[in-house]
This record gives sequence, structure tokens and C-alpha cells, in this order.
Amino acid sequence: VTTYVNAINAALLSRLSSLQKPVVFGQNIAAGSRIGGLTAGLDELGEAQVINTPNCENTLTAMTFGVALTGRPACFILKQQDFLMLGVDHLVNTFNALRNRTLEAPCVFLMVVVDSGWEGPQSGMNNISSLSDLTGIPAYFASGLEETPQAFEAAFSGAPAFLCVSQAMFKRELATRDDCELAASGFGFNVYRTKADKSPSGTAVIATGLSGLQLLDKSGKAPPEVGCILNTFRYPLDIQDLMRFVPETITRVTIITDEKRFSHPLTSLAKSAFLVASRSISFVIRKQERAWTIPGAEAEILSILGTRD
Amino acid sequence: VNNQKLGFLEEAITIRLYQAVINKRNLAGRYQIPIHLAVGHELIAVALRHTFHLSDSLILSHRNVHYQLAFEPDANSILAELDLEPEGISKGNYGLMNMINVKRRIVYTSSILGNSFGVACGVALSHRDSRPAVVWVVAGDGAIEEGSFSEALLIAASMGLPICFLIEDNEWSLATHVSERRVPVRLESLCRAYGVEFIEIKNHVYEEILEGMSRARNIAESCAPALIQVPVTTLGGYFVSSGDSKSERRFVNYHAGAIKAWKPEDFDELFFENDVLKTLVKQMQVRSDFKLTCTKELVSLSS
Repeated sequence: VTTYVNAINAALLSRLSSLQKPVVFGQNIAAGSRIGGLTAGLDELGEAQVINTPNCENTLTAMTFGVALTGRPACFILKQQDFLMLGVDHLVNTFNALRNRTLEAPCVFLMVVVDSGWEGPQSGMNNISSLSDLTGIPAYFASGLEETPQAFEAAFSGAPAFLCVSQAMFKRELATRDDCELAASGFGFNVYRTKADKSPSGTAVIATGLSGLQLLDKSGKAPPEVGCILNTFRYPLDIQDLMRFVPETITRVTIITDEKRFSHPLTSLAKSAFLVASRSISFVIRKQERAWTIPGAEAEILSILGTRD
Repeated sequence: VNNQKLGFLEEAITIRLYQAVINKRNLAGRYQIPIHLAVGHELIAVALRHTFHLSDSLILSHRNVHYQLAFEPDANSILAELDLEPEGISKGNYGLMNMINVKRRIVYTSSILGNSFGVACGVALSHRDSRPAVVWVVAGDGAIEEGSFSEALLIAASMGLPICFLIEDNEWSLATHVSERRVPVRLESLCRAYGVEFIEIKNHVYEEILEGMSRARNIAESCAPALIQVPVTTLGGYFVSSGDSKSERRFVNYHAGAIKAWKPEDFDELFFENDVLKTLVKQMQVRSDFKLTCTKELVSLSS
């Protein structure tokens, strides 16, 4: 049993220590609480260049690309993902200018997603899938005990990547539920059986973003009808690949998200799943209990998707 | 010394020549991509080429053709890039406004005003411990209006980056003169506020530009940023209608398209009135065989 912040800190240190002369920067990453422990121990990494920066997110976003352009691994750490919006020019335009080249060095934007739900105007942007679609940069999520090291490894594999961690779960103890067992892994997701029965029935839950943390946490409350959980840690997802892992005996799929709005990419995901499914499945998109959303969005999405029994 | 100076002038004229070719091809409707020329800016590019060390990096803006032509001996590969041909310097993938040439250390170019300052800071941070590499980032007086400029000065000074900000100040942004769009920006004061060394070139004279660049590079090499401001008159004589009255016409730095009145057929027609290159040609004995070669190249490439 470990806390979530310890798990992501361990994954970060492990990745950085495996790289040659990484450059890591961000505000307060080597001072004070070190972002609540997220970046603890960074300044003791021998080869890493660790820099506490001024508040210049636009330039820091650009610098991440600039450092990686020279062949050195770069990691920009943000304590709140909303501030990355100050660097959208670079996430869209600079990345676009670099698309024809191979960035061999990791180029990672590690951000704390404010997913605790009640920040309101303080945090308006955790639609990471929309950001990923807008920029063309894949997103990885530390969305569980198994998924955290997987997400870090994938994000630090070379091409530019968003790497997202949950603020809400920082201090929570992380342990896989007793009634869950890892049954299989696909590209960017893990499949858990929640019942001893090898032919699970009922509902399959596809957890997107960081929402899987809530389900797989020991204290989480998965509804009793859940037969299996597909916990994703990457966006975009290959929906056909994902659906291959939904057992034939499953009659219903629920897609859950921690995003503050039902974004177009998520709607597309659900719609694609609906189209790809070759058997009778109904879809419900359920917002996380305390997430903010646009009034009426859920009904609108359901009207787009329809249901099929 | 005179031979060396003559050599610099001939380099600048060669850059002008290829710009004339590009302009004529543009007038003929050859290009699918936007073309930005730098007529009048050539001496700055030549001076930078002679200040630049092999370990340095160069980061450019949308108006970069003079540097591309100064740094790449094979001008045909530049022309091919404008045609988006695979033989182009960037394999036809970048066109003009984002053209890179990694072999010549032009590592990044952005068509977005103010975009390249931050990327340059990243490259400089990576090179900070591998002296004497210096990063040059070129922009105009329009780009310094972007917020990214102030951020980059702050970061460069705070992190002690080996970076030279080279600002070509032609006082125009599209069809708007600086006096029409903003208060004067006293770069010297701004630099002082951030602790960045400011070098002002007062006259567009080759020796002065070269000396200023050399100073800037020495400062940057010791891991302190420097900013060098070079005044430049962008020529072109391209006028467009403005306001409600179609008879009212005003000077534009031909951002809006090709220089319609400029279709040089021989060496002498490469130059404009009040053109620094024209003045230098008058002052110095340009070799007649060089003139002849220029005219032949002009005719050959324009046909």
C-alpha cells in the first residue's frame, strides 16, 4: 500500500534516472513542498539538470520543445494543468512545425490535473482529450497503481507527450480492490475482472482519463453490476482494440470520465464504440459524482448516441 | 581589407539577386506558399554568417530568406524548397516561412510572430554547459510586441543563457508603421530592467553591424544574454490603396505580395533608390565579371 503521490514520485524518479542528462523544470519543483511531494528527490538525481523557474508558462512550454530539439530529454512540470493553456501557441504551432522531424528525446509536459471537482473558476480545463485532439500530442494518465509506471514509461519514450496525474488522489492510499484482478493489457489500457466468474456479465466500465483511480482504489465503489473494468491510461484510444477486450457476455458498456465537460472526443469515442459493437449493447456516459459539467450535456450526448438493446 | 569588404558586398548582392529571382517567379504565379522577401536586410545576414561559429545555432522568423541564402551555398536547394520539391533544403516540407537547414545550424524557424523566442531559450538552456555554443534568435520590431518577448528576456537573464536576440527594426508591421500602432518601445530600458546587455547599431553600416554582433556573441558566450538592435530600411516600393479613397496610396513593405514594380533584367536594376547596397556599389569597385555573372544568372533563373 502506498499513497498516490509516492507512486507517481517513484515513477518520475525512476524514469528520469534512466535518461541521459535530462532537463527538468517548473515552478517550485526543487523548493518548498515540491508540489506536495510529487517532485521530491529530483535535486538529488545526479545527471538531471533541475531548475526552479519564473512564472513564464508560454516560454517554458516552448523551451520544452527547444531542449528536446537538441536531443536532450526535457520535462516541464506544472502544478496545475490550466497554466499549460498559456503555452497553447507552442503546443499547436511549434509542435506542428516539428512534426516532420523526429524528436528522439523525450519531451514531456507533466501536469497535475485539478480533478477534485469544486475549484470552479480556478480550474476550467481538464478536458485533456480535447487538448490532445487540438494539438495532436498524445496524453498519458497515471490512472491506477498498475497504470502509473506504464503511463510514465510511455510518456518518456520519445515523442512529445502530456503526462497527467490526479490532484484529488494525491494523499490517498492506493491499492487494487480485493475483488479486482488484472486479466489482460491492451495498447494504453488494462482490463480487470471484478468477479471471480471467468465469464463476467453485466456492465463493462471503460474508465477514461484519471477516472479509473476512483474505481480501482480500495475505497472506491464500483456498482455491483460491473463485470469488468477497462482502465485506460492513454488518449487517443483505439476503440476497436478496446472493444475486443469486452467479453461477449457483457451486455452493457458504461464510459466514465473525469473531464469537466463532455468533450467532442469523448462523444466520438462513445459513438465509435456504439458503431463498432457487434452485439446488443447500450451506452451510458456517466459523469463522475462531483465533476462539473454543462447543464443538459448528458442528455444531448445520449440523444446523439441513442440506445440499442 | 578592401578585398574582404568587397567580398561581403558581393555576398549581399548575391542574396539580393536570388530574391529578385524569387520575386519574379512569385509575380509569375509560381508559388503555392506565401513569400516574404528581405530586400534591404542582406548585410545583416552576411554579418551574422561571418560572426557565427560552427557550434552556434540560428533560430529564425517568417522573414528569413536572407539568412537562408547567406548560410546555404547551394541557392538552388532554397529555390527548390519554395517549389515544395523533395530536393528542397527542407525536402519541400517547410516552404519559406518555416524553412530549416539543420546542416547549416538553422535549427528552427517559425512563421508565428514571437513564437521562436521561447524555443531559442530551450536550445540555449541545453547548450549552456557546452560552451562556447551561442544561440541566435532573429525577429523584427513587430515580434517584440508579443508577450513572449518579455518572458524570453526574463528567462534568458534568470537562467544565464548563451543567447543573442537579434532585432531587425524596420518600423513596419504589415501596412502599419510603428507610430500608428503603439508607443515607442525603449529596448535599452527594457533590457536594463531584465539585466540583458543591449547593443544598439545606430547606422546600417556593415562594419558597425559586424562589430555589434561580435560584441553580442562575446557576451552570450559567457552565459549572459545580449540583445542587438539593427535599424533597417526594407525596400520594395510597393504601394496599395488605403482608406476609402482608392486614389490614396501608401507604402507597404510588400508583405501583401510580390514587389510588382521590381523585374530586374540586369545588374543595375537589382537596386532601389536609397538602397544601402546601391550606395556601396557606387563607392566600391565591384568586379565587372561579377556584374556580368549576376546578370546572366538573373536572366537564366528568371526564364
